[in-house]
Amino acid sequence: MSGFNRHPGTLAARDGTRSAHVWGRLRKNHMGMAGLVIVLIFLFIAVAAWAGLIGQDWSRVTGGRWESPATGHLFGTNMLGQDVMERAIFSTRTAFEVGLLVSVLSTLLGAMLGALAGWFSQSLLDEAVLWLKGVLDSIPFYLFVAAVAFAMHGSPWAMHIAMIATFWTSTGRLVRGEVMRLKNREFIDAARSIGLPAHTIVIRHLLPNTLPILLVQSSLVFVAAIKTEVILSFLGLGVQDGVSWGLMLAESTQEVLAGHFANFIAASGMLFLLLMGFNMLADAFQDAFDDRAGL
Amino acid sequence: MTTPALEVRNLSVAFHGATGLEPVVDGISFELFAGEIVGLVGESGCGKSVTARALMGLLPAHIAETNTASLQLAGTEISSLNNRGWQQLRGKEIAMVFQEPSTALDSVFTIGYQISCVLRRLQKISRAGARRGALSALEQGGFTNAHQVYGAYPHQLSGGMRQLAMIALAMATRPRVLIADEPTTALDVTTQSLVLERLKLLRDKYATAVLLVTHDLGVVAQCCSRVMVMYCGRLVEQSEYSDLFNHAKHPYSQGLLASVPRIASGRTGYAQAIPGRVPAPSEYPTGCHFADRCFKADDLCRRSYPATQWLGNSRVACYHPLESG
Amino acid sequence: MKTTGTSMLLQVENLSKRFNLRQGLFAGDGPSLTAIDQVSFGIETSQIYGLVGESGSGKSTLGRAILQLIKADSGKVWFHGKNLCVANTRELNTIRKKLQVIFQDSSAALSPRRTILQSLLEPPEQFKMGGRTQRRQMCEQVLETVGLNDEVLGRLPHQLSSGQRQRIGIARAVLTEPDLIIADEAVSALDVSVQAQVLELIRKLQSERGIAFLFISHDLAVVSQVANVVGVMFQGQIVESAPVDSLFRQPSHPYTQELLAAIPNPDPTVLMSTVHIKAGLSREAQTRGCVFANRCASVMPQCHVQTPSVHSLETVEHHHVKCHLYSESVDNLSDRA
Repeated sequence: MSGFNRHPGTLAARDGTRSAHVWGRLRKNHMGMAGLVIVLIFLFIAVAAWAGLIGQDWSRVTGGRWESPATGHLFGTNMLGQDVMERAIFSTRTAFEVGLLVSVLSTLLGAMLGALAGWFSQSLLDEAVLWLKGVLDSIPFYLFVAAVAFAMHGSPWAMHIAMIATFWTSTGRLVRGEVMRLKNREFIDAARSIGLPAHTIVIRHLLPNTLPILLVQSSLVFVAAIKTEVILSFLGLGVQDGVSWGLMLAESTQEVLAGHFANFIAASGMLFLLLMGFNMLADAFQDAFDDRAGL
Repeated sequence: MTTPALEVRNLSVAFHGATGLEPVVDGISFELFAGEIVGLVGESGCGKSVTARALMGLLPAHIAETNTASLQLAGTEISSLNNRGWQQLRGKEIAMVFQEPSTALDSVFTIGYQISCVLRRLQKISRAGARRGALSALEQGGFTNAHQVYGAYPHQLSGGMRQLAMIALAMATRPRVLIADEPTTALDVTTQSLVLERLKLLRDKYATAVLLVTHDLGVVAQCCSRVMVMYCGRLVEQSEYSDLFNHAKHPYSQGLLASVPRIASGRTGYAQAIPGRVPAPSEYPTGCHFADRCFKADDLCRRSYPATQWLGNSRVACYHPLESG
Repeated sequence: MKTTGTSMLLQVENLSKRFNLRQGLFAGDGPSLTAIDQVSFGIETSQIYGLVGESGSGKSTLGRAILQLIKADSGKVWFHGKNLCVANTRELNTIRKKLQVIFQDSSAALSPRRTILQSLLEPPEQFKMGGRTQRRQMCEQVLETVGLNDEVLGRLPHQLSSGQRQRIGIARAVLTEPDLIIADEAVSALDVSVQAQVLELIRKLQSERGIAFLFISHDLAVVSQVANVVGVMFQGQIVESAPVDSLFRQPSHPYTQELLAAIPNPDPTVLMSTVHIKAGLSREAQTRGCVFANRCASVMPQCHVQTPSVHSLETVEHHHVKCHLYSESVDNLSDRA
């Protein structure tokens, strides 16, 4: 794109590439940048925990029951004498694992099924995808997770599979709509008129145009997945081996009654911060991709 | 001299763009007299539609900054009106017709209901009175089957019929000024002639001052007594249309006329293009905005923008207006 | 309309297409709309055939049916000795190199996220023309042909003006050295000053490269600027076709006359006439008689009953009209002036 800078004063020189354009708008959004910083800090914690640098002592009993916050235990200890801070840090890793896995896979699934349904709209395939989406959307979600968990004999992946199987539907609907809108545009006819096969047209010309949708959708799914994981773990349907903010909150229900808030504050505080940061970032993304904003 | 129905002095509109304020309309002045249709022509992006919206007070402040030295409706200053004041005027004293009637009419109400609503809001009359008013407005609007159209929803009418209904709606309150923004651009030529004919008839009947915004010099020729040529946010020439056609004084007006494809019986020649392209508002040069495409441009043109001067009955903004003959 | 001989580059025979108005899996035999109705015409090598009609006349459908972007119900499209309607995918793909298209909306006709270079390279890659460097050279050469600088190659479509984008659309069509380009409302979205530039380019491509065009437009004045032969389309039928001068000197079908009279002339002394349009503008299915009968100013009883056949004017060669006014049986009634 070096051509842009050689000719200042032209339209192109002002605009630059589209991604630069989007980034420029994102950078001007203070809330969005604050969100990005928060998310990056959490991501750093998660990566460090994953690499075995911090949070490895989450399951060890390192102190007495309900020790107050002090130098040894920054957030105190829980009922069993485990360090709350260690647990909260390791839970970040759990949250990111669930969030990333679910958002990436469900977005891919949604993009694939949505693109197929949109390209072959009004066909049997489209009807089948719509029917599947209707069925999945109409089953009560927690019942569905319980059923999947039961069917998989309590596998630790039941929660992930249930989420991926249900979270793709909104992405699929949006991608289908976008593909149906775009496939009647003339550049698709232009591609067909030189004889490009359908799969090339979909991959080369249609899916790249759904990228903004996919980015925004996957960030929303990421947040939803973390929230759902917490709720499911709280209910005992979620994380089976390990620790998560949801499990900590479940533990804390008894502790709060006894007047000990360390577990509750640490888990809900981290969850709140991460979700807020991510929502701020997602909103900023949406605005940055919207070409009409700021014009 | 009579008071103009609408007098505009130094109207400027700037949009909040990526690089700060972009001047879209830059200090234009004109007047409309009762009973005349004045054409506002220019290419896309020249600011003609923005002018129309600014005159209706329809530009939201967070998108555009509008400034006028003076905006007078039949001698009354209206440039300082607040939102409430504008709502009193819009539809009653000054009405608008848009390019796309299917988006300007509400698709969930019948045509008749929409017209009587407007009448009831502005004239404080009974339901039955509003119905009678709406029916007569539709008849004036050229519908022989007014009762049928009264009960029709917008989607049940063809594009041309919808535009006629839109005009009937705008003219129902007998406004002093009608602003028509590309009213026939979306229509076929045969339907276009019908709509333009109706516009002229209503103008004659109610002595409305009409501002006809269009890109089509043919439409101007067939409807307008006077014409204003707009280029890059400025009025470059204002004159009687016949003067413009026979002897355009601004090089841009001349170029625009020459670029219109025409069917001549002996096929005298091809339409002549103007070289170059229309710059975007952020690229407007300091001098005459047309200088880069003009065959008469010199250093003076590139240095400063020419002031508008009277030449006979025309107003021209050019350092080197074309000689007659 | 009746065309003979083998000199024809494109020959369309009795092409028809109906659309089901109800869509979906179980639409069945719902109401349908005849978009093109037994259309026949031909285009000679390096000839520009202007196809004029109002919105909904079926002119764009005809273009798309010739390109095989939609499948016609019946009829034949002969191009390079092959009937495209029955050609298989491989045959079609080799023929498509010689049959290109330009669309109206230049902002929709280019893939929004691909650079101009990527868009331009697509046809030569698809048709396996030359090596990598050669293709790049071809793109640079074609830009020169359409009057653009090669600095646009790295840009995205939205960074160009509409006139520049339309030139890219033309460049893309010209790249494969086609014999025929179907230009669907190719200049309609452009401002007049730019429109004239593009029309000039089309005339240049015809004269210098011998490319034939099917130039589809709603604007007779624009068509008069480029076409050698003009066909006037109304409700799916070509009602009149003639060499351009003959058509404008002697418009013969009442619809053509109406169309011509309604064009607003920039000369204020040439007044347009208001068309009187009878019986609304709805498009009821016309099962019998002439498609124009309901709107025609010179309608005769038989127009509602009998479909007119194609008549040739004696005064000019290749001037054909589909109208009862020109049939021998009512010769004495007709006014040919």
